[in-house]
Parts: sequence; structure tokens; C-alpha cells
Amino acid sequence: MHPRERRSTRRQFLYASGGTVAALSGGDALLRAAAALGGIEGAPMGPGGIPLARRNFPVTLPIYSDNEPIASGKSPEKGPLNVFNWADYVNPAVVKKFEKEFKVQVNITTFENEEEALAKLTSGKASFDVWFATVEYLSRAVAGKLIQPVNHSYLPHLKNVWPSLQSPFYDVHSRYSVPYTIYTTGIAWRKDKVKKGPPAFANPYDIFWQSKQYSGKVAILDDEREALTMALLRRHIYDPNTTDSKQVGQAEKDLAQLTKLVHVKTNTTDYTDVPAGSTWISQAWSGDMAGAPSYMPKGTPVSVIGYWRPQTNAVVGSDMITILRGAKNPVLGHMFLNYLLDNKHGVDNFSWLGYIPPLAVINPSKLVAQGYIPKNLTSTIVRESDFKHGLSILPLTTQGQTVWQDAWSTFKAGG
Amino acid sequence: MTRRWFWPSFALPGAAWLVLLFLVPTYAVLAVAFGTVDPIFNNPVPVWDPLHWQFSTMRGVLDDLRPGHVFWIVFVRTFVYVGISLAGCLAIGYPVAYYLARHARRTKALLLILLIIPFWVSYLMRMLAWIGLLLPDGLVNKTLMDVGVLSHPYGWLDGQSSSVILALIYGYVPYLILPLYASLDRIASQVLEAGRDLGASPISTFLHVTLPLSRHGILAASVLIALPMFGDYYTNDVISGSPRTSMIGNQINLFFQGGPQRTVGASLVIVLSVMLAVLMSYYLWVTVRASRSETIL
Amino acid sequence: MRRARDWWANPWGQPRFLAVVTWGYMVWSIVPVGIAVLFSFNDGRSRSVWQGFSMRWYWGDPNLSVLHDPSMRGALEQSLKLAALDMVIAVPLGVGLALGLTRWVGYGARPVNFLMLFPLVTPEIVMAVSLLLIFVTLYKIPLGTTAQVLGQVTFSISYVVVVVRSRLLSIGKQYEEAARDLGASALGALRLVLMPLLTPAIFASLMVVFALSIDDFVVTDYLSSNESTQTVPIKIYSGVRGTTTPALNALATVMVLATLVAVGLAFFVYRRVNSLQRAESGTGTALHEIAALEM
Repeated sequence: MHPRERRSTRRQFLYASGGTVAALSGGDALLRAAAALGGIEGAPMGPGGIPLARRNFPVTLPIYSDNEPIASGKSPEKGPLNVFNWADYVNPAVVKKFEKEFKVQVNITTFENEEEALAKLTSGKASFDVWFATVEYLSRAVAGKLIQPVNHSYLPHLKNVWPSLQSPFYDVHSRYSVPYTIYTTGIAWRKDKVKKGPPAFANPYDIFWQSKQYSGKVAILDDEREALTMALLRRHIYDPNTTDSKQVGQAEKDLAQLTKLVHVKTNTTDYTDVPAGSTWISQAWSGDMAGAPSYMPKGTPVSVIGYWRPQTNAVVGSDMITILRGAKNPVLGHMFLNYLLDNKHGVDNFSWLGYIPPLAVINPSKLVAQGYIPKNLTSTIVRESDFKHGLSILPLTTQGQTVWQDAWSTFKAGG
Repeated sequence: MTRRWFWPSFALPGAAWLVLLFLVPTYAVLAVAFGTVDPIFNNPVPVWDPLHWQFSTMRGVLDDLRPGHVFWIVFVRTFVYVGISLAGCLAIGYPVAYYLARHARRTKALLLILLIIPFWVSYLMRMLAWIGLLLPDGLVNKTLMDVGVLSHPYGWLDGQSSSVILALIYGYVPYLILPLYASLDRIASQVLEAGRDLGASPISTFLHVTLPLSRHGILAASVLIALPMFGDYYTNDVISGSPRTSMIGNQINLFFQGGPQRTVGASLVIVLSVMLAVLMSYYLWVTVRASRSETIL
Repeated sequence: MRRARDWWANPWGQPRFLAVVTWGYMVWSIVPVGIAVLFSFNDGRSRSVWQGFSMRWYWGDPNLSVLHDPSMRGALEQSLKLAALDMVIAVPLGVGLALGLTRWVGYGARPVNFLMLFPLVTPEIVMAVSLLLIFVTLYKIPLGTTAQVLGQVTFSISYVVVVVRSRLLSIGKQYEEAARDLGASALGALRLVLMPLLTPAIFASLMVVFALSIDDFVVTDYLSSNESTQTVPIKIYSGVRGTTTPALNALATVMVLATLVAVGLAFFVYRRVNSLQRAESGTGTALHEIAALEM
């Protein structure tokens, strides 16, 4: 789940247009044959014959002959640039600066969840230039030829990005995407209400299972993958994409214990609940807690908030920006991507957003000195080493999804 | 003869609508529950021909319905919540309906208006109101702390089954009182006076005359709120954030929010409907009987 | 002394206990809603701590008030749009169905009657799931406003039938038969005699459908597509547990006002036309008939 995803409208069905269905179901036979032969075995197969990326099975997304990148050296179009993004996910001030500098207008349309976004993009009625996507749907978008490969000659600022993300495992050579933000999942707690924070435990995740005295004030993310993964990590199973029903089943039983012990709540409102004090211990995304200062009630200092996440084997999420295949302003779109990757504008964006762009220039200690992040929340800053030694939640096959959903529905049944 | 088709023809558009948008969709639930799933988009693939229905999903669901398993636990919890809430609604609603029907004379119009108002206030608005009071710094906690009953704010909204049941009662009792009042109102006073004339005390009249006569009304009104309550999921979602209080509606909702198992969701809907079919048939029987006779004597 | 003893010996005789329970219930039922309405006028951001009186959440606040926040305003507009469409479609269908069912003498009437009663007793989630599935798999209707309207009309029709039918039964056939005796055709009798008599019931059913549509949650949510098709109940559902501002209370208050005005209108029109026509039936006042709607 993306931190900006809203729960109320998740009931999308993907109405793929005829061509897309053919592309995804028939697939590129040549590609599949190549995958079968080319030693990518072990990686589960995704739609359209593109293997599902894993950290140890990096995927070079194919470039189809009928979907090639634009030519280099063209001048930007007049606009307006149509951007398709999550709600509240880019600093309006940065967008305005872009508009002034390039003398164009930028229209932002928002979506609340990926399936809604994909449904709109495949309906054939929408015409956007730029789309903010996630790893989960990247391979589908490529297989369905929804997005076009990017032309790096327009993206000189890509070298500002962490080296390990310039050619990420899910999109080797950054053929289709540039990274936008990085976040991790950790534990937020109220230092003034909770005696022992996660660092005081031998296994920090144990704080949830030993918080009986805080019953009713404990929350985990209302996300199937994130919540069960935390239980897996507590048991030192460092594979958030496991489809072993025993492991996932055990994770579910552990979470069920939480239901009995502490009446655990499931929500994604940690970013307001923890500052407000209605939740004292919560699983939380890093960017949510970075934004805590704006949610603190009057009279409560932000220093009461603590945030912990592991140095290695933390769940690291990332999202990216892509250019849509039918973009009317592809060159302008590239320039927008390049603009956001610029060091100054990237930091500007982060100061408003709370979620960190993976720019090498960003120095965690400098961020504190510059007042972007309160001193007690430096752990919300994600470093390149976190990404290198982190874990990613990635798409599963249908059988895999079933295993996880069954576990989740059992947990949600409260039994 | 044009006459024979005159009146039915007025009913045709409405009936056709209900067939296309109520009856056929019901069949679609069966077709999906006994169908398959397209693996790429996780869309359900319905099987319209009953001869090709696949029962593996339903078998799995029924398997999990056995005592001790997942769906059993949720169904039992739902039954318990509905049962307690219904009892609470009747305990509160019957005296009010009775008073309105039999006693309030001068204030009757005013009381009826006050009764009707919450009936037309959106259910979620009433939950919003209730939640506003139950917040950690809300009026309920403030009052209880001022009075000294509580020393620190209580987490009413932190996964408490009592909060969910109270919310269900608060939410559904208006839907019970009005039909109950309507049916109590219809009991002719002459019958009750006859009972009194024959020497029965007020309590006795109530127990042996009024109560039995209002039996149909009670049962019909109970069924009328129990049915939607069984499918309720939003009350639990807004009052309690915890899986501890989830009802069968929450499970159904879960499978329709994404993932490859909408067939399971459809199967659960079928199981729920079958369980409610008994209640539904009873209600229909009572309604049809009642509509044939204007008053209950 | 004697009165106290009488009261004690016979607490049920005097309806004191019942009166207390009834008034207590009224308070318990309405006061929380009143408090929520009150907080919509709160000056601060809290929904539970009073910080002064202000209209900021209605139109004052330039970003977050109902008037200025596009998602809130959009929800209001969508709610009203769906209600209007629902009224315009469901009422004619329902009136026709009521006419047909009441007057139909034949084998078809029974099953159609059952069919009409079923939506009244079906849990909303069952209806929402079935509509969602049929739109996605067979009818290929995309989710959104169209789907929402289709769904809302489906459960509204039965309510219209109930309202109109009770009025039809109390009117009886006498007026039409008199008109036929005087030479009017069946259609003419219907148009010139029955319809005017039915007007208050039709108006009442319009208002009932309005209120039903405005307050509906499950079906509307299941058939919604994105933020632009969210209605006020959906907004409340997704916002109520977070730290939303009293703008949510303001939004809900506007909806409640709209509904109460609609129902109040229905009541007054109904009663006025009733007394003008001096209806023969003595069993029900207008209040009673609105109250008996659920049956």
C-alpha cells in the first residue's frame, strides 16, 4: 500500500481495453521464451510474460518495437502538462516554480489508489503526460504499454540520485522510471506515555506483544502486506514476499495474539493519532512521522514522539515517476521529471512532503541543522544504506496473493 | 380486451427494472461464487451455466464455517451482537412505542415529530455524533471524569465490543420504534377496555391482551432491523478500529476491496443470505397477511 | 399519602414510568445529533472541545470549509445530483408499479408483489455486492454516477410502492368508478380523477426517495469510482475516525437540514391536501401514514 492510499474507494475492477488485455494475456511469446531460457527462472512470472522483480532477480523491462522512447534533442512542447498523482504528493510551490521557469501550465489530477489510477489510464479516456507509479504496478503498466521508456538525454539530474537507485532491481537501467521518494516502515511511539520504547527491547518488534498495559492504544497498519511482514520480521524471516503458507500462517497467529492482548487497532491514521495521543504505539511509515510537527496539538512538544526502524532489513518502499505512452507533451514531461530530481527542488519538495527523495546531496545531519526534521525524528530519514540493506514488498502471483489474503482475513475476523 | 392488460401494463416498467437490477444481479452472485478468477487482473469470471459451476470455493468457505474456524467465529460474533442489540432496541423501543400509542394524548404530535427526526437523520451522521461524544476528549469522558467515575479518559473507540453494540442500538432503534408504534396504534382500544371491564388489572391487561396482540408487530419490527444489522460493517469500522469486533459484513467487504478472492466474498454473501432467508420469509409472510387485513383484532 | 401509595401500588397504571422512558429516549436520541450540529459551528479544529462560535467551517475558512474545499463541496453536489436522478426515475416507476399491483387481478400479481417486497428486506451489502458484480461482469457498466443511480433507484422503487399503495388502498375505487359511470375512459378516469387524489402520496414518495438517497451509504459506496463520485455519507465514513475538522459536521448538518426540510414539506403538503380533500378514511392521520411507511 502506498502511504497516500485512501481506503474508501478501493473497489476497483480493471476494465482493460481490448488491446491491453491481449498484450497482457497473450504476452510477448518471444519474451516469455527468453525469460524461460535466460536464467531468470526462480522469479515468478507476472502479467505479460514479464517476471516479477525481486532483489536477487533484477528485471530489465523490455522495450517494445511499437513503444520506443522519444528522440533526443527536441524542444519542449507548449503544454499544459497533465500530471496524474496521489493527492497532496508534490509541493505546490515547486510546481509553481516549474510553471514560471518553463512558462507552461501544469494540471494535476489526483487518484486515491493504484487500481483507480490504472482503471483510468486503461480506459482510454484519460490523457496524461506524467504518472506517479509504484513498483507493484510498474510491470503491469509496461506489459500493457501504458508508459513509454524514458530518454535519459533529457534527464541529466538522474545522476543526483543514489547510485543504487539509478539502476534499481525493478527497472534495470531506469528504462521506464525515475525514483521519487523513499520511505521505510517502523514503529512510532509516545515517549511520554510509554515506559520502554522499541530500542529498549532485545527484539524491538516485541514492544507490541508486551504492551498489555497499553491496551487500546496500540495500532498496526491496516495493510495486509505491511502488518503480516512485521510479524515475519519479528521472527527473523526476512522475506516479505514469501508464499510459504506456514510462515504467513504463523505471522497471522502472532497478530491474532495482539488482538487478544491489546485490542490492536488497524488503521492508516498513525500520522494524526500518535501526535494526538489516541494511539501510543503504532506501526508507521517514516514520512508520516516526519510530518508529525504539523499535527501536534497545542502545548505538546514534538519531542514526545519517537520513531524507530531497523538499520538493516527494514521494509523500504519507493515510488517513481513515469511518462505515459500517449503523452501529448513527452519532452515537457521529461523536463518535469528532471526538475524534481534537481537537488534544490528535490529538497524543497521534501520540506513540504515529509517523504525523502533519494538524492545523494541529502545529508541527514544537515536536514536537522536546517530545521527540516526535529532532532528526535532523524530515524525517519532514509539513507542509501537502508535501501541497499532493506527489504521490498513486491507483487506476488495469484497463489501468493491468496495465501496472504487468507491470513489477513483470518486476522481480521478477530478469532 | 384492453381492460385485462390495462393495470398490469403500469406495473411493467417497474417490474422489469426490478428483474434486471435486482433478480438478475442475485443470480450473478451465484455465478461468481461458483465461477473462477482471471489471474491477471484478479477479476471474477462468472459461470452462468449451472452445469459448469465450480464448488471448490464454496466448499472452502463452508469448511471455514465449521465450529472453531474463521468464519464460524465471525458469524457467531455477529449473531451475538445482533441478538444483544435487538434485545436492547426492544427494551428501549417497546415502552416508547407503547407510550406513544396508548397514552400520550396532548403531546402525541410533538413526540411523533421528535421520533421521526432521527429516523431521517443519516445513519452515519448519527454515528458521527456518537463518535464526537466518545472521543478521548469528548463529552462522555469529560462528564464521567468530572463526576469522578473515571480517573483518566476511557478508550470508548478503541476496539470495544460494548461500544459497537451500543452504537448498533443507537443507530437502529428508530427503525424499530416507528413500525412498532404503527402496529400498537392499530390495536383497537375497545379490545383493551373490554379486558379492563372484565376485571383484569392493568398489568394483566398488558400481559394477556396487549402483548399477545402486538406479537406480530414486535416480530415484524425485529426482523426489519435484524436483517440490515446482519450485513452491517460500517458501524464496526467507524466505532472500533479493531478486528476484535468485526462482523460478517466486514469479512465480505474485505474480499471485495481487492485481491484474487472475490469468489470467496460472493460465497459468503450466499451463506449470509441463506441464513437470513428464514427471517426474510417470515417477514414476507407476516407482511402479506397484514396487508390483507387492515386491522389486527 | 394515598396518592403516593396508589402510585407505588400501580406504577403501570399511571404512565409515569413510560413517560420518563419516552422522554429519556428522545433526549438520548436527539441530543448527540444536536451536539454534533453545534460543533459544526466550532471556532477551532476540534470536534469535541468547544472553542467559540464561528461559521468558518461552512464558508469562512478559505481552504477547508464546505464551500471552499472542493472535495467537500463535490460530495454535497454528488449527493444532491444522485438524489435528483433517483427521484426522477424511481417515483414514476414506483407509482406505476403501485397502481399495477393494487389493481391487478391475475396470476402475475403475486410474484411481482414478492419481487417488490424483497429489496425492503435485503441487507444492503447483499444488494451492493450483487449490483457491483452484475455491472462488472455482465452489463459492463462502469462504476460511477450511472451505476450509483441505477443502484439507488433499485431499492427506492419499493419504498415508493409502499407509500403510494397505502394511499391507493384508502382512496378506494369509488371515485374512478363514479367517473367511469359518467362516461370517462379508463385512462381518463385515471388521469383526471385518480392522479390528483394521489398527488400528496406522490409528493410524499418523492421526499422519501430524496431522504433515502441522501442517506444511503453501502450501495453508493460500492458503486462509486473515485473521489468525484463520493457522497456525503461516504465522506463521513472515511473521515470520521481521523482528525478531520468540524467541516465534516458542517457537511453532515447541511444534509440533515435538507432531509428534514424535504420530509417536513412532504408532511405539510400531505396534511393540507388531505384536509382539503376530506378523505373518507378515518384510520390514519398523515403522521400515522408517514410513520407506517416501514410496514
